[in-house]
Amino acid sequence: MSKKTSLEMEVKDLDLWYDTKQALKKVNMPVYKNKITAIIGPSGCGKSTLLRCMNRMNDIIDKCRIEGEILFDDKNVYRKNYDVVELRKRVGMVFQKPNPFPKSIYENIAYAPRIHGIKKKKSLDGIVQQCLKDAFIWEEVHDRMESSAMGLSGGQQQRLCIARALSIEPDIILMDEPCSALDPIATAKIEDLMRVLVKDYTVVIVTHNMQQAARVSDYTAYMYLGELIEFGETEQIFENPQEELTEKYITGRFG
Amino acid sequence: MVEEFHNELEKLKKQVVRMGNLAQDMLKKSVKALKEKDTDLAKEILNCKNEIANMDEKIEQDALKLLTLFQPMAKDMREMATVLKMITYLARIGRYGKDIANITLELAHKPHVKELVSIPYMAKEVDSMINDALTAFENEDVESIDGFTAREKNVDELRYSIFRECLTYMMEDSKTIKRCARYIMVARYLERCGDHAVKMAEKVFYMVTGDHIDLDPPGPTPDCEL
Amino acid sequence: MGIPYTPLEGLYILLAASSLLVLVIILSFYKKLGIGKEFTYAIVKGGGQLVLIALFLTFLFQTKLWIFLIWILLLTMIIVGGHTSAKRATHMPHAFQITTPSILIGATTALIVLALSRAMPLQPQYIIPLAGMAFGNSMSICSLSLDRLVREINLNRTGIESMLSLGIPSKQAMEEYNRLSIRAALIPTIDRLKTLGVIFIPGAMAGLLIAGTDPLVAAEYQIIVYLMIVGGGIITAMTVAFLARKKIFTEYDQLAEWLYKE
Repeated sequence: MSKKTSLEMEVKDLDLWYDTKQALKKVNMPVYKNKITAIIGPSGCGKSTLLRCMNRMNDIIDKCRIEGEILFDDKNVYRKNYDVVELRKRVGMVFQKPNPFPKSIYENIAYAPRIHGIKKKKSLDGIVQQCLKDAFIWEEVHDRMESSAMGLSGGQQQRLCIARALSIEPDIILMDEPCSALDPIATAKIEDLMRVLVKDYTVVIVTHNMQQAARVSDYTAYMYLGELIEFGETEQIFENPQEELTEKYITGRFG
Repeated sequence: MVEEFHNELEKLKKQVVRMGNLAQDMLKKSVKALKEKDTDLAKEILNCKNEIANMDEKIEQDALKLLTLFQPMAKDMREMATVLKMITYLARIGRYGKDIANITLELAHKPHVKELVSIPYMAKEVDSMINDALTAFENEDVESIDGFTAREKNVDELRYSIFRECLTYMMEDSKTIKRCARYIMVARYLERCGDHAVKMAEKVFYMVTGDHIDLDPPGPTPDCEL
Repeated sequence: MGIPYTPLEGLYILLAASSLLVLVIILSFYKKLGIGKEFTYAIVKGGGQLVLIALFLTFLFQTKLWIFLIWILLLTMIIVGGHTSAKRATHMPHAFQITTPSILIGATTALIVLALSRAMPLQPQYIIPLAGMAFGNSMSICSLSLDRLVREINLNRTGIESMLSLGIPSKQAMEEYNRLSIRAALIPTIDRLKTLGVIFIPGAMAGLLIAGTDPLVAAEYQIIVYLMIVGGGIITAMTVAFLARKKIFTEYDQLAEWLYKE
C-alpha cells in the first residue's frame, strides 16, 4: 500500500431507512482510486444495500428515506435531480448471478455502447474486442461471437458480464458477490481478473467469502446490522482487527 | 466446522504447553545433573531427546493440517503462527538441555573447578523467563512478559560474568581449561535459551495483541573483551 | 325478422339454458376447480347487468335525450373498464391511471374512425353496441398487455437491472418487454381473425344474420368491426406500454418497489 492513494468516492454519514427499519446507520467509508475495496459482513448487514446506493439502484421511492451523502466527483449523488443515468455510465455493476442478455456474445458487449450513441460497426467491433480481452475471455469466445451468450459456462458468463460492464468505460465497478455462483476455478479466474482490472478501474466488491476478500482486496470494510464496524487495510483487518465484532466475525465465533 | 477448529486449536495449544514443560524440565534437570554430577539424571535427559522431537513433529503436522483445512484468520491465524514458532524455540531449548546433559557426562569423572553457583543461578533466571513466556501463551496474557527486556540483559550479563570468571581460572591453572571451556559453553547455551524465551514472548505478544514488539532492542554491547 | 319470441317466452328458454350452467357449477365444486363461486357471481352479475342495460336501452331508443344520456353510458364503460383492467396489476399503485386512458384512447380512436368512415351512423342503435365492442375489446387487450408486461418485467428483473446499471435509460431497457406484451395481448385477436368464419361466426355477424341481414353485408360489416378491434387494440396496448413505464420505474430509473411484491 505504498502507492499514493486518492479518493474516488466517499460515503458520508449515510443513513437509509426502509419504512421504519434502518438499513444503514451513519456509514462513513472512503473508496480509493485504483484499489479494491471489499465489504464483508453477515447476511442482512446492509453490505449489498450500501453497494447499490453507490450507483443508485436501490433507493426505491415511497418508504425509502436517505440522509447523508455519497460524494462522487465532489457531487452528492443523492442531490435532487442528479442524473442517475450518467452516474451509472461511470459506476458499472456486476451482479451475483451471471446474467448475460439473451443475445449473442457480440451483442452483449455492443448493446450499451450502441445505445449510448456509438453506431459505427468498426468502432463497436473495436470496443467488443477490447472489453473481451480486458475481461480475459476473448481467447475463449473470439471464434463464436455470434452464438448465444447463454451457451457459455457460468464462469465465462460472469466474465462476459464483467466485459459488458467495461463496455461503458466506467470509473468504478461494483461487484455484488460476483463469484458466489461459480466453482473455485472460475472464481480464481475472476479474482485474477479483478487484480488486473484494478490497475485501470476502482473496484468495490461485496462478498461472503472472507478468504476472497483477504486475497483480492486492498481495503476491507466490515459491516454489521447496518453499521460500518471497521474499515482498514485488508492485511490489518484480517491479521489484527481492532474491533471485537470484526474479530469475532472473521474467526467465525459469531452469534 | 468453526467449533471443531476452535476445539482443535485449544488441543494444539495444550500440546504446546506440554512440550514447553518438557523442554523446561530438560533444561532444569540438565543443570541440576551438571551441578550434582548426577549421570543417571543426565542419561534420563538424553532419553527425552526423542520425545521432544516427536512432539515438535506432531504439533507441526497438526498445525499444518488445521491451516490447510480451516484457513484461519485474525487471532486464530496469529495463534497458529505462534504455535508454529513456539515449538521451534521449545525444541531448541530441549536440545540445549540435552547438550548440557552430554557435557555432564563428559565432565563426570572430574570434580568441578569449584562449586557451581553462577550457572545454576543463571539457569534459574532463564527457566523463569521460559516459564513466564509459556504462562503468557497459555493464559493469553502478556502481563508476565513485561520485564523481559531487562531480564534478557541480566542473563547476558550473567553469561559474561561467567565467562570472565572462567577466564581467571583458566589463566591461573591450565588444568581447568577443559572444564572451564565446558562451563563457558553451558553459559552460552543458557543465554541462547534466554533469547528463545524472549522470542517466544514476542510471538505471544503478537498473538494476543496483533502488534509486533521488539523485546531485545539492539543496545550497547556489554563491555567485555571476547 | 329477428328472434321469433317475446321476452316472457325468452325467460323460459333462458331457464332451460341455465340448466347447463348449473351442471357446470356443480361439476366445478365436485372437481374442486375452485371457480364455482366466482363463476356463479360472474353469471349473476353479468346477467343482471345485461337486463339493466336492456331496460336502459329500451328507454334510450325511445327518447330524444339519448344524445346526453349516451355520454353517461360511455363514461360508465370507460370507468368500469379501466378499473376492471387495473385489477390485473395487483400491486401497482393506481393502475387505473394507466388502464383508463389506454382504453379510452384505443377505443375512441377506433370509434372516431368508424364514425368518420360512416360505418357507424350516429344513432344510439349503432353507437352503443359498437362502443361496447370497442371498449370491451380494448379492456381485454389492456388487461392482457398489462398482465404480460408486469410478468415479463418481473421475470427479467435482473436483466433490466443490468441494463439500468449500464446507464441504459428505462425507456430502452423495457423496450423489448413492451414489444412482447403488445404482441401477447393481440394474439387472441389475431388468432380469431385467422379462423374467422371457420371456427365461429363472430358476434356482430351473428347478430346481423339473426336479424336477417344479407350474409355478404354481414361479413363486410364484421370485417369493419374487426379492423376497429385490431386498430383500437394495438393503440391501447401501446398506450399501456407507454404509460406503464412511469409506474414500473421510479423517477430515478430504478425498478419500483411494488414490483418486488408481485
